[in-house]
Amino acid sequence: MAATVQINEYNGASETKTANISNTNMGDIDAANLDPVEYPVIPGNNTYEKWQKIEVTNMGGSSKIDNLKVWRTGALGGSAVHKTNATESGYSAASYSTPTKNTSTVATNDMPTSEPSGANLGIGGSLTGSLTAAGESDYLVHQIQTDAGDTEGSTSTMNYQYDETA
Amino acid sequence: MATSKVICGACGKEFKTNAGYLKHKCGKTGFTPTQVEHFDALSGGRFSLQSQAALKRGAERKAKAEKKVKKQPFTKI
Repeated sequence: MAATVQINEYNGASETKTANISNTNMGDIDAANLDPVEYPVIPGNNTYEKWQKIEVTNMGGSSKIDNLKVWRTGALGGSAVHKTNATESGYSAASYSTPTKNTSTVATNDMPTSEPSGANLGIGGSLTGSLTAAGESDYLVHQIQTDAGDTEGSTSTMNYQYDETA
Repeated sequence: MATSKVICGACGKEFKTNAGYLKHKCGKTGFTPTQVEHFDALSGGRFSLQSQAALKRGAERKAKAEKKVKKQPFTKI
């Protein structure tokens, strides 16, 4: 048996948790599994921040989950940028605040576009942290910031990776 | 701030606590969110493949770390 791991998203002032999201569509509404056609981002604006966590719901007999890495593959439209709090250096855990479409003051690093060499999302405030029982990672915060000249609509993939020790 | 409620992303059922969510039998999969079958049902079996890859990475890192420890020079006092 193996550990069961899912991605959660947190929304609103009351931090509603949607467990095991089916996508991380970015758009003009603070909601999980949003419809980007219904809530597109007007070029020049930002998407709402995404506040997400990786959660282990059951260790399934394994001893450790660690080495969390997140990155995006695929190009964004035009000169849009994808920002995140994930980083391999100078990491500190983010404390929840209501997702905003103002330019994020939490997601200030460029989202990697290939697999980072080391962990860039922490557990318990540390990149070397680990989960040895059911529990959650620190918050992953990310936001796409667009330019007025950008064209709406691009599709890319967010990658969430962990290592599991039997 | 504490999470106000937990919504199962698969079946949409709402819970006051995470424990309640983890114990529920999902209306979409018929399994609880602590069972591999729940995730495989939602991903068409991809979860098990991802899990195997995670275990492989974990085993490789463990072997690498053990190899490093073995390479430490021995100092006789």
